[in-house]
Amino acid sequence: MLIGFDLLDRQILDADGEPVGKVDDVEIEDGTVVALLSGQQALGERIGGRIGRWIAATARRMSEPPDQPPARIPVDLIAEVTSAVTLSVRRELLVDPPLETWLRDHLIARIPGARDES
Amino acid sequence: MAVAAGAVTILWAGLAYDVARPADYRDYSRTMVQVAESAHDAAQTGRLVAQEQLAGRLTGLYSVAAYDDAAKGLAGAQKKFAAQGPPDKASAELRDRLSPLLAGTVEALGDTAEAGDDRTREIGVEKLGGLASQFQDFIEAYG
Amino acid sequence: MKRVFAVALGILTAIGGFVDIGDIVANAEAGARFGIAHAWVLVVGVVGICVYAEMAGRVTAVSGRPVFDLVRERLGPRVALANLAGSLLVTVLTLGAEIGGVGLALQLATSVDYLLWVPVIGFVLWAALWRAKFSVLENIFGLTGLVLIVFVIAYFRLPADHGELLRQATHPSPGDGEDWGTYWFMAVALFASALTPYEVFFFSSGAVEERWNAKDLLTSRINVFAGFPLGGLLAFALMLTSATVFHPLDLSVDSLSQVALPAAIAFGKLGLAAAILGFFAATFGAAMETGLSTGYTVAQYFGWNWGKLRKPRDAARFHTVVMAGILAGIAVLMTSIDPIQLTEYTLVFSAVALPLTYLPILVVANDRGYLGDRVNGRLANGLGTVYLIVVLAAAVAAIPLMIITRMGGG
Repeated sequence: MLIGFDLLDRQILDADGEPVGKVDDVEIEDGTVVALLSGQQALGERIGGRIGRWIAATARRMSEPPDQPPARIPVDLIAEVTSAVTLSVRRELLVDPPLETWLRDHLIARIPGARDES
Repeated sequence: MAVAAGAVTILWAGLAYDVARPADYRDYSRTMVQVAESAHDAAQTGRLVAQEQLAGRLTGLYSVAAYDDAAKGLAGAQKKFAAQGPPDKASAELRDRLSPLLAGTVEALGDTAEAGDDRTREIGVEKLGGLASQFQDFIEAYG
Repeated sequence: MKRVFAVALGILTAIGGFVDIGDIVANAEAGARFGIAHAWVLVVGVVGICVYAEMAGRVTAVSGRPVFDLVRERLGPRVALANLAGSLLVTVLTLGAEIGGVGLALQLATSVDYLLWVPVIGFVLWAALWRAKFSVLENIFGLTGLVLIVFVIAYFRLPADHGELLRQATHPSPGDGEDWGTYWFMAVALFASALTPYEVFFFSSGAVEERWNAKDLLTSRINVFAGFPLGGLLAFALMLTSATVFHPLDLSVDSLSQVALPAAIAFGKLGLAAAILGFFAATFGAAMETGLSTGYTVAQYFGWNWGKLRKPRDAARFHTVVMAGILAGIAVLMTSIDPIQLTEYTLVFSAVALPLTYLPILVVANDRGYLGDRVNGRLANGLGTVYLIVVLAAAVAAIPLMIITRMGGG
């Protein structure tokens, strides 16, 4: 039994322990949590107010194609909840965060050495 | 909200009044003492640097940087000195006392910084030391 | 044997890493103007950073999560966002001040104006954070920073009035020509310089990068309780030598060249070179730490990939934030604000932002959900609470003191 309040704002890790995002919001159906929502869009809508709306609007515009709903992770993918929420899948199976993809493709990957371990 | 805005306005108006009101002798002497303090620090630093240079304890490049810093401090003092005219006769007296000391420091510090030989540096140490103690007297008299 | 070596290395880097431009400026200025009448503030500050760094290290070692990561769960997204904004502003300003400090150190070595160095330093800093291995960076600059020990030895070579110094330390007061307002302003700046917020972000994030777990608790504690106090000793030596050379002359310190002078007086060119090298290593090391900290805090708030353990292309947002932080720091310096003045302002803003960093740590360190039976004991909570009060007092007093004393100008 998962309670939304306990999950909110927790770090989400994939099966390898790689960060996926935060639990920025949860989707509730009939009083139980059915999915975790992650990404600045969900976060902005939850924060609300002018700043929240701005964060959400920017995130919506960044998504590819624009105006996608926030990334949704069904609860049956959750393997374990400790100080973080660990998923049973690897993050390649999840939707890529749009900002990460955009910055990687347009800025970071173009700089020499971006693929090297330091 | 309205109370906060009111408080800020009153504070700001108070600040504006404080800045805009004509300076009197107290304000002026306070500024002059600050000028003397900065100039004293510049002279004293120049003296220390020259003295250590004479003792062979400093690298040439460091000395250049150290004199530059002292000169910058002195330039700040001069700017402050020139920024305000004396509001009355007593203030003018203060200015007249400080003015030659400042001019002397500019000259001594510049000469010492550019000195090519130890003799000039020795003279610089002496001059800057003398000026520093005159500034000290000024600060003690009016501070 | 390898273990012992790792611990020793940790201590040495903590010593060298404690000192940054804020410590250098605040201690030398305080020493010149007030003698060592602020010695007690350093003791208070060092104990404070030990108490909180221990908590941060413990939280991270046990839960595997850096402190800032947990802050959002405890404060909620809105308060944590405000916290992030405040911390980020202070960290970027500190980054600017550190880059300026590196520039000033290079100016002392080359006599080329620091502003010309700033873009070069920015690029080298970015390249180092982009390419170099984390532990290598930390060790090189931490160890090189140790040459600041020259100031400790210099004190014994300088002709000092030990009785007078002892009197200053045991009878803290402003002394001739200074007032209590400036005395307390300086005390707040010194306190903030010892507890600079980025140190905790960096310490706990670094622990994650080095993959600490519960077994590393002892290492963490040894690093904290040996490294920081010895680092504080280096800071104290700066105050002490400044008090010995400049205070008797009533000479106030406002440039880095003056801070180096006592080492030159004691040891000549070699001492001077050691002092300049020490300034360079300490400020460059701190610039790396603050640069990474900008990325850490933002990435940990949003849950992004972060850290030097990953290839840059796998942490694109993190590396973009670090880059933006460095550019912002350079932009601040390019307004041609004097780096020493920037440091002074940064210390005041740090003081104001201190509660933002330290309150959440205390909250998280008491959370059984993360720490199980490794939560704070009575001693840690007692000291933590006392320090929280001190931190709040410093935060409230910082701005009024700055205005009343006109930035300590009197």
